[in-house]
Amino acid sequence: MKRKTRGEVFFIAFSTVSMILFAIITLLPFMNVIAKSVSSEGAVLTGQVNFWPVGFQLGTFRYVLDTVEFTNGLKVSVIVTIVGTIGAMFLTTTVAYPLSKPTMVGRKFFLLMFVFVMLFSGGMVPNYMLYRSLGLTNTILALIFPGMCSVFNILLVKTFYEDLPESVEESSRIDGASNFRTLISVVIPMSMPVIATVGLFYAVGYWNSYFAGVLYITRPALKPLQQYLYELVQASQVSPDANTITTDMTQYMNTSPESVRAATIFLATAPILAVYPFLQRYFVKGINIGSVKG
Amino acid sequence: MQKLKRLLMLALALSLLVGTMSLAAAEDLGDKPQLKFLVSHRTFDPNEDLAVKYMRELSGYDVVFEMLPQDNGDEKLMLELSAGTDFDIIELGTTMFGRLTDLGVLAPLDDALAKYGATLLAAEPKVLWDAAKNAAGEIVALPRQVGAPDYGHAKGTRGDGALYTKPEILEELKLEVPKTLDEFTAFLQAIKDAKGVAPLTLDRGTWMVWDIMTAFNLPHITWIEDENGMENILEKPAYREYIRYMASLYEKGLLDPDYPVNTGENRDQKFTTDGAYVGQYAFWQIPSLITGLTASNLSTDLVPFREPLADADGKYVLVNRYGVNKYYAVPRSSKNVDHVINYFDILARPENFMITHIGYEGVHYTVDENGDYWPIFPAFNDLNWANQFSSLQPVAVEYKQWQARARKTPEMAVAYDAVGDTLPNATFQIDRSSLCNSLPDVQANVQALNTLLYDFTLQAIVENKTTDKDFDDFTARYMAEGGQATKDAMNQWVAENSFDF
Repeated sequence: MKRKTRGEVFFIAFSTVSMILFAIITLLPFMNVIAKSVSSEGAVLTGQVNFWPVGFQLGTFRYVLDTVEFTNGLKVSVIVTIVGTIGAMFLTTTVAYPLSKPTMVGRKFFLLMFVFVMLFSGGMVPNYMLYRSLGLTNTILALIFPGMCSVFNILLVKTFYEDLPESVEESSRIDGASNFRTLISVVIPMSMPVIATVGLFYAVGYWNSYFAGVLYITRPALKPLQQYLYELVQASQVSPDANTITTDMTQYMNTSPESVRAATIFLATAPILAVYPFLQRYFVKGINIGSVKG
Repeated sequence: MQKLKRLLMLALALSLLVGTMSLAAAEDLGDKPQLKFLVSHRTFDPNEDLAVKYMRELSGYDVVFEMLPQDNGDEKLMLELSAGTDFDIIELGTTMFGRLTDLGVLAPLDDALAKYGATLLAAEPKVLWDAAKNAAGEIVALPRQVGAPDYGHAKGTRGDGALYTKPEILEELKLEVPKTLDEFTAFLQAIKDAKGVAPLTLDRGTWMVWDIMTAFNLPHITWIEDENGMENILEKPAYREYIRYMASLYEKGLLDPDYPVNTGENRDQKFTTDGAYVGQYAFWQIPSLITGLTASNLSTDLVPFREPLADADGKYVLVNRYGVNKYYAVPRSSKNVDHVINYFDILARPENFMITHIGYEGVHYTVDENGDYWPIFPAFNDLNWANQFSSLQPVAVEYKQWQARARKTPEMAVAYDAVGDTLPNATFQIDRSSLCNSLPDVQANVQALNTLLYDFTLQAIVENKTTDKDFDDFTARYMAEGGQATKDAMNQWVAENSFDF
């Protein structure tokens, strides 16, 4: 084995240290939130809690899980994420497949249409009007449809399909498989890396989606979790303004304590966080495949 | 006692009579439809709320609540209205009420009020109904009153922000709660000398320290009305003195050096440890401090400044807000105007109002021998949000009952009662400025002006920019950027709506 030059050693050391620092910077705020969520209210209030719990308790978690607004939001977000991701994956894989075939009639036209709507959209108000006239506002579908077909992801998958060896597909055709059969049994299993990536994009997108709720939903029970979370945190940051008469004391009297907010943030992040490890291996594989093929 | 009983019986009989009369009127309304009620943002779901369940039971209407988002709520409301909304009731702040009135999207309520709204009309004074009219003189919303000129006591006004200090420091340094500005400065200096920290802490949003402003004979409001009309606080020489005083505290290290960046949490952190010794709090913030104080092994018996700092004459001025804090309106697209008025009228009847406001006597609250309202736990917890969508009620009655809410915890009750029911040296400043909020000129400028004034005040205190030239320059800018237009509009309104001080 070749000995590393001084420059290489320095480079590796530098990258390692800066990566570790970067990881810590990303992790610390989250540690702080977790520590606050399991510390006693008194310790949080007096500023004793940094990255380690003081006066450990789990009461706040129980409290948050008992809050009907939280459980409603969780339910909505879970349904939206699961149904949305499955639906979006179906659309993306099936739309991308024909587009990846040079033999498709009108391929250029369709591609142009897709790219056009990727760059130019109707805008917020027309979208709202459309959803409204379709009777979709205040339904869970209004949270699912907007994120369901991302042209960017379609192009990503299309490009991946194009790089697959044509001969494998030919072999399946020789065995008598239809186009659909080829897609399901041959193309998709070979495309797991890109499917995992795009699936994660969709899932995280749906989980973190906040704006669809703001725009299309006014029924409180249909609010997605992120909207509830955002509003809970915001509510605590408004302090009674000496200058406005609209100051409604009841609002301020019921502001939730910081540890409860921290617990809500943690509980709202945990489910999507748990998805990452399962998809991690596909990412690594995806990188490998790319490098071998190159 | 006998007399009182007889009076009560009479009142009950009367209310029953009124009740049956309006029931008779309501009969021709036909079946009660579902009413869709659009409210501004809350962190809870009103449809699940106990008080709302009571409202449904008592009114016989199936009211369904929908909610605007917290951010861009006004834009969302405009979007809903422009798309042809199917809401029957919308809750509006004063600014939004003005905008929608100008656009003419709110249904006139006069006919419905005449037919079904006897209780409602009797619940609010004329000046508030006037504030709910459009340019054509039609009533287009139900105004919810806040404050009253005849409060006459300090609790309702001072509870929102009084200075508090801690018993340990008073005892240790043999200090007394100061009563004048000089005493206050000496008080802070003594603590600083002994402890080496800035004794007074404030969050960055607090630029008007109410109990200190009183020493300069200043009420803590931006627009001050007297016999000569409305004047901006900037035009009062006393405001300059107040800012100079605050700047001097900051410079001497008597005011928290972190003041311009302090959040409420930083402030509480300092106050509940040995980081600070004086802070401005509302009575309802006290319970949240208790856990922190206990964690620091400090006494939880905080000492309020029972009286604000007095001016040269030994007096202090308190603010009585008087106006509308929100409106209930009906969009023109709704077909249920009569039903909406009927709904609110049923809930405005005193016996119903009480239940939707604080629940049932003996279950959720009790009344003690002084006539004070106290909550019963844990039942009262279910009514935490009960006053959010109440109907209209004479404010004195509502306020008295509301006090049960102010006594939610023992500490809160002590703090609430301690800031003074009757303060002998108080004078009262009536603040009607919110009634002007729907005027177009006020509406267009109010938010920008408030931000401007806040930024200036904070900067002046922190950077000690307090020469007369600084003030003059800023006042000129403030007036040019909408201050003068606001002032003129308000004064025109004042001239049309005279008020006996």
